[in-house]
Amino acid sequence: MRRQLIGLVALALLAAACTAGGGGSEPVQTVANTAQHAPLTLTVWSNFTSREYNVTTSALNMITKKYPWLTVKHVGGKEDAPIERAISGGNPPDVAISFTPDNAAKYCQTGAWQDLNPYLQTDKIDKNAVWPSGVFSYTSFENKQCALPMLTDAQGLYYNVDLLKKHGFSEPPKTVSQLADMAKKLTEYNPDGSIKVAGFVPLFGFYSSTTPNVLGHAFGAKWYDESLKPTLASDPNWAKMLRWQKSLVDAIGYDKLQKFAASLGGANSEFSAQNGFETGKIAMMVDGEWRNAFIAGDKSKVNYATAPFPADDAQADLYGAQLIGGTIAGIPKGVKHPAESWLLLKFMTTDSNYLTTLAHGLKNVPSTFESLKDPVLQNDPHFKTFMDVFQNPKSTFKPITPIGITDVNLFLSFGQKWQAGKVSDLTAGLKGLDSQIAKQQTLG
Amino acid sequence: MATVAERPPAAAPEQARAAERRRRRRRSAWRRQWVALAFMSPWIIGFTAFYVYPMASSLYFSFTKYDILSQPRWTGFGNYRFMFTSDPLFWVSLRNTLWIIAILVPLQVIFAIATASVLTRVKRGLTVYRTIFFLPSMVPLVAAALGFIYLLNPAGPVNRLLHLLHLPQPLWFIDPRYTKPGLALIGLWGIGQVMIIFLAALLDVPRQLYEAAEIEGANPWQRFRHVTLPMISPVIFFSVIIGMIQGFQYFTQAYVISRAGDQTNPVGYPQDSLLFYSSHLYQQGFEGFHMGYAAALSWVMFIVTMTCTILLIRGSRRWVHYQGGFR
Amino acid sequence: MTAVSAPGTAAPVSRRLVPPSIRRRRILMSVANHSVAIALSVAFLLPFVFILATALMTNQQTLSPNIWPHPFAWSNFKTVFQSFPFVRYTVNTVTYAGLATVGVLLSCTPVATPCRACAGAGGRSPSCWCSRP
Repeated sequence: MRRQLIGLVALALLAAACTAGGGGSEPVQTVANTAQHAPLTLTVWSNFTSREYNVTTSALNMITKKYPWLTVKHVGGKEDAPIERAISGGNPPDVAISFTPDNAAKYCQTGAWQDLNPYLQTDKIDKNAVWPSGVFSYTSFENKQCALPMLTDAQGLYYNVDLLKKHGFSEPPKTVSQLADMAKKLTEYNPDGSIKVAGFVPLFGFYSSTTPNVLGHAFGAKWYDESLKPTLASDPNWAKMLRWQKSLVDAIGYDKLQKFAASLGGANSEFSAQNGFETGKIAMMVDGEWRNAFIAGDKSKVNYATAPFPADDAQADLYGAQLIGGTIAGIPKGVKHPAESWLLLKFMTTDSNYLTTLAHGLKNVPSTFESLKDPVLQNDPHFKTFMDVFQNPKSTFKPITPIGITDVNLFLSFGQKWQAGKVSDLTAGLKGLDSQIAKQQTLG
Repeated sequence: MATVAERPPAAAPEQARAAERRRRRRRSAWRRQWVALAFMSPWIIGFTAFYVYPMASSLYFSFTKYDILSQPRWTGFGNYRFMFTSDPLFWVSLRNTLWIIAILVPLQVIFAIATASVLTRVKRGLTVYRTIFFLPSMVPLVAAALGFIYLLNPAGPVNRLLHLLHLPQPLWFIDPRYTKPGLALIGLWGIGQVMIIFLAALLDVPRQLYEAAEIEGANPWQRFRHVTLPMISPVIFFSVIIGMIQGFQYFTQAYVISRAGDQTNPVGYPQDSLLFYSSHLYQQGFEGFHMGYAAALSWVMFIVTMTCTILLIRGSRRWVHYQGGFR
Repeated sequence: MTAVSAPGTAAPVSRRLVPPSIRRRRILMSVANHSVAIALSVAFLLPFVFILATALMTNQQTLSPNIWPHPFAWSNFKTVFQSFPFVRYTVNTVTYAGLATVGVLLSCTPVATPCRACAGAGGRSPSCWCSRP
């Protein structure tokens, strides 16, 4: 009788442990036996299309060699919104991939993407040994690790070696004042006064990397304090960066720069063969590591090199760090096979073979210390710059908040008004921006 | 069944028969009512499921904080208060939308009347011209927007043409002062459908009126003002109302154009000049996770649109002349 | 030129002679109207022409000063179908458009039937909800 009672209690405890969802400090199930398992197909949703979709699908299929019972069905062209709808509709993919790390805060906060800390603990993975510290700035929020990086991006300086040499420069700039100085000297003009070759285009909104976010990183400017209150006005580095940017814009000429930027072809031309840097019309440009792939793919003849983006003169220790962050992946709430989803996610975010194959195909930066050691990528001097930037402990993404990309958008609009001269009082303007962002946070 | 029965002399069996006939008539009336309902049911079901239910839900969500990924939390009039006190972009988007309604809609109506009048005057090749004028309105909005992004590219064909004509070449969709005129060009390019309606209306104006006016000595402008305009005023009224309603919901072209290059630009790029009411709503709801606020925005737009429409209809009594004298 | 009497008619039909000044004016008006119409047609058609020209340009040439494609990249049209599932998208659109049209017909036509019955019953039947003047 007592044995039966003990047996019943044990069974009840076991049942309770098995049915408890992955939350809090309860242990989670992982796949007990990876060698033997019923055949299973897991779906992965991402926003990859055409060539990148093919590359990623073939890389994902590598998992079937490791676990023959596991097949992966990769669905491309799914932005964040369809994934969110699927989650709230109760029919999510088994693993979700997003290109917008800014949204991760909302996913962590609402549990839409599951907290992966229990899984990492059960599998005894030491986060800080696998990933550089910068990744946690865009994959975790309020101590919940709801995403992990699958390859990443890093910003750096591209410069035209020939153009620099022509004007007597052998080294790329290391400080922002050097950058401004060289930009002015490297700019060549047409007879009618318009810009023929730009040294550097400091306009916000010109190409995707010239944003207050990226430039702000060079000045060590902080978006938020610990309590997520915006510090755009209280952190003096923002004003410093904005004044630096505007003085450079005014020195070259706002209208001239706009006309020059427009002559390159407007919005669509950044990723076309008409890209200003690739056609030798821009001497120095800030861009992500993907530009290497585009230069090769567009068969551009530009003789270029890469270097870390310059940093504030007063904060020389920031040199070598820049904005990082890119694709993230996670397990949505309510998946049918969480243990198997974790197995797949672990493969996608930690398996060096997979990551290096994907990095070769997509030309993004591998995201783990182990995969960063890949000799092929390390031997490419153009690419190595970005790998070093990613590993720099001072490189971060901007702090993520539950309002997603709203703050970045607001700052970009403000920056564009500022560079056009429409903001007469910078401090008041930044204070207004702060309060706008804070109010957006309350709208929750 | 419903035969009219004459009143028989007041005898009990006759009364009973009359009562029976009344009951039968009521029952058949009920049956007809149910038959009518049965016929309307597909539409009623669709209307309720896809119109009434979403509208009611949207009204409910407008009083909550809702981010799609978790349950909505009641917040009363919080969203509405935020809209009017804490959201500067609300006023920006409202101003931009009013530009569409106050400037683009009249321009479109005037241009449609002008092109329709041109068509009334040419006799040979009328069908060719009419087809050509109508063709652009068949182009899907997204395709038209993408096409014009290319055309109005600062280094593109239109600016090259302007350069040849020694005219200033604005930066179009990169310069915040010229983004809305660029949208106006797209809007004017696609007036084909409205133009066809005006063409029919213009051809419908009785010739005697023109001849009478000519005899009285009216010049072409006076003929237009006092004969043509009143006679086509119902169509003008219709176009203005439809244009206004569409103007309040203006979204596609502005969204496609400001997101043209890379997706990192905010929806109103450049400098919020293309931030229309629907764009703001979209950004708040789908990118900022503020679905409840977006629902509140949409209800305010609904109320404003209804109010403007009602005002327009009331005001129309003064200037719209229906031929049949029907008010 | 001058009036011609229609064959077979008894009474001579005399059309007024059109004085040359009025005929000149009419021709001028016609020319003016047609030139306006032609100008408008050109304006309406130019975007199509430019987009078509761009569709036939190579990527390098798209935003360059040349407006005439050189060479003609007819392969662009093939690339479109290979870049993404264009056929699938078209099938989706046609399916949606077709089903939507059918759905509208199916749901709205029955509504009209009681309206006929309303007309038959002289305006006193409940089917007259749908058509209130």
